[in-house]
Amino acid sequence: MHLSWRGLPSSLFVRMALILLLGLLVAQGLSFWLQWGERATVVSQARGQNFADRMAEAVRALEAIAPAERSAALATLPYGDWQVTLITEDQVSQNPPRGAIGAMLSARLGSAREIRPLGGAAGMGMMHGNMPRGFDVRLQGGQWLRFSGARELAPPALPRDLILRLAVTLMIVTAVAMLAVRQATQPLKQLAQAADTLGRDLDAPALAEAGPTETRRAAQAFNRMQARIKRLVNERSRALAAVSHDLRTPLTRLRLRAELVDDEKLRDQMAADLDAMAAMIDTTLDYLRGLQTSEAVRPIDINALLASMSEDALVLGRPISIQGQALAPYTGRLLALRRALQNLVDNAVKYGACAHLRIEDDANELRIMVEDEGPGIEPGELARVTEPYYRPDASRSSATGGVGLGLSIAKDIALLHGGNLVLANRAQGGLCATLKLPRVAGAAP
Amino acid sequence: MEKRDCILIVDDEPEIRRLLVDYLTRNNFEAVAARDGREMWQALERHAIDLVVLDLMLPDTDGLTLCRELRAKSNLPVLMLTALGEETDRIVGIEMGADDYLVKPFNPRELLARIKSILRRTRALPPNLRPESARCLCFAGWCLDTAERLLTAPDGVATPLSGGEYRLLHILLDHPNRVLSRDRLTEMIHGREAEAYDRAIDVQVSRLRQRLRDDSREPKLIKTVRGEGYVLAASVQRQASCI
Repeated sequence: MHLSWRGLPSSLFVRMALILLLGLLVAQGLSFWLQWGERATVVSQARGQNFADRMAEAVRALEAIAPAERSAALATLPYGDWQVTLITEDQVSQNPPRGAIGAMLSARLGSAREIRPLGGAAGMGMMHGNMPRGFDVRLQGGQWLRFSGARELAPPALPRDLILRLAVTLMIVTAVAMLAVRQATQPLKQLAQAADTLGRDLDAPALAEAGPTETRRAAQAFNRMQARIKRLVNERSRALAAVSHDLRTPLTRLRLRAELVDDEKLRDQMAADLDAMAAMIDTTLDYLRGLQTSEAVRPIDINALLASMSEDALVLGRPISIQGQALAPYTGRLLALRRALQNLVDNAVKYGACAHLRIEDDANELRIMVEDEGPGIEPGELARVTEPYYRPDASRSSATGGVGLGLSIAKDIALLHGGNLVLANRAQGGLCATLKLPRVAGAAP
Repeated sequence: MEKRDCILIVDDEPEIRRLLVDYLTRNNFEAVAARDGREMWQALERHAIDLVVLDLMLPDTDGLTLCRELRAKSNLPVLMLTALGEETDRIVGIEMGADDYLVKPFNPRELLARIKSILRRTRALPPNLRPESARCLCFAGWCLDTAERLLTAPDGVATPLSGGEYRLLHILLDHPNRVLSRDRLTEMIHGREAEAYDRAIDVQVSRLRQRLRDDSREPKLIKTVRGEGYVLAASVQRQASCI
């Protein structure tokens, strides 16, 4: 079966609720229709009995008197809503006799009478409760008598309380259906939430393995997956730590041996190479460790952070200017943010000869811009330079060192804080790296 | 010729031991090496050691345990070496009482500089006044975590410090309510004599006041003593953690 979902709302909750309600409405309507029919049959049967009584009474009364006096006697009979007339042979209805009325009449009179239903309702069954408009009955002696209804007999209107009862039932059933649907969709929502959290925090607490079987199994499967991912990541980190440890020991020896070289130029070159190798190990580890940081989130004085970085850079002979101010502490991970900013500043100094920091802050977002006066980045490369190990120009970076991870790490840290790293070339030349950090509502101290 | 400082190197890697002894000797230190904890204790008995350079990973007892044991017995300064670059290792090392921490492979000149700086710092005070090590120094609602090198404000906001600001604050907190002259501060921080009309210390004090939200015209925490120097006007509690 193919159902087109177009036009339906996208929420599973709404869809399921709609489908259930539609089904319930159809079922309710069907049962109502059946009940209505049943009721009409019962009513028409009761009416049939009543009608048979009246007819029998009239037939008995008319048969008891002489044919000539019958027409005068008609007026004295109590017919209620019925008209009783004497008719001639050629006026008799041609409809074939049917239904239970003939038998009922015979039972009351003790012998059979010929009976014909009146036209118009000929094709209509008893189903809808509409009886024929009347009957022609042949009295003993051949005289025909016509009983005809004064008006169309409809089944009685539904009593008001029945409708009320139906409405109440419908409302209760609707409420229960909504509850059931919510019950079914709630775990899905929780699962989605957990998957989202997992992306940011591998150590997020496991899902509660409770509820109906399906939910429990989904939660169990999810928890197993989380444990597997965690194990994989941990194993990878351990392997890396081991490799880096084993690399550091020979590097330390080399570094110490380099100090024994008398040729100062050669010694400095060796030292620079060894530093570059050590930096590579450090940044690679940093990157791979990056997002599984277990660092606590806390409010940070961003102005103090930037000022301290600028002062530390000054000691190394790199002046960094700072413009603007953060209006309030930012709640985040201090070491991670410092690393991201340090990477951006290092990049700016490396490729752009200087670094200008600019802060823009409002209630929704904290933006820290790191600007330089270098050549910038080819527009086509802008999106790719944040990819790990990607370097736009191999020759340039081999001269300046680096592994091609600085921007990736900065971007990952921005993403970790729910923000982003945006790179753009400045109109006046140079690159502007913007660290966008959303201020989460309620996270402020 | 003045007496040379004696450095004890504890490392399980023979080549590194040999190279380090060599390097330190060439740079006017006396150097002794030990390959594990047992040898370290022996060396400490035999020689008058001024500072221990201790590797974190050793075959018998690990460096952290040794460091703690060493701290329990003496005030001997310790510089930790590690081949693990983890931030948490650094914090643990400092918590165990190490005075400083270097990640392998280190620049040998950096090692020299750190050794000199630690010796200078620990000698600035007579041994009986040398502050016992504690991770956190708390004062006037503020708390300085010396392992994480992080200052936390009374309202819980983390306030990062530059290297200079941190050293200055650390020194002030080590000497609460004692007037420290500009010359003394400069020497303790930079390891050099203050030059005439040297304003570097004043600039740093004013920056630190700003970090501490201390009004520079009417400072309450770091007060200026006219003609003498600066004093930290607060009592300092040493705690295992900042609360």
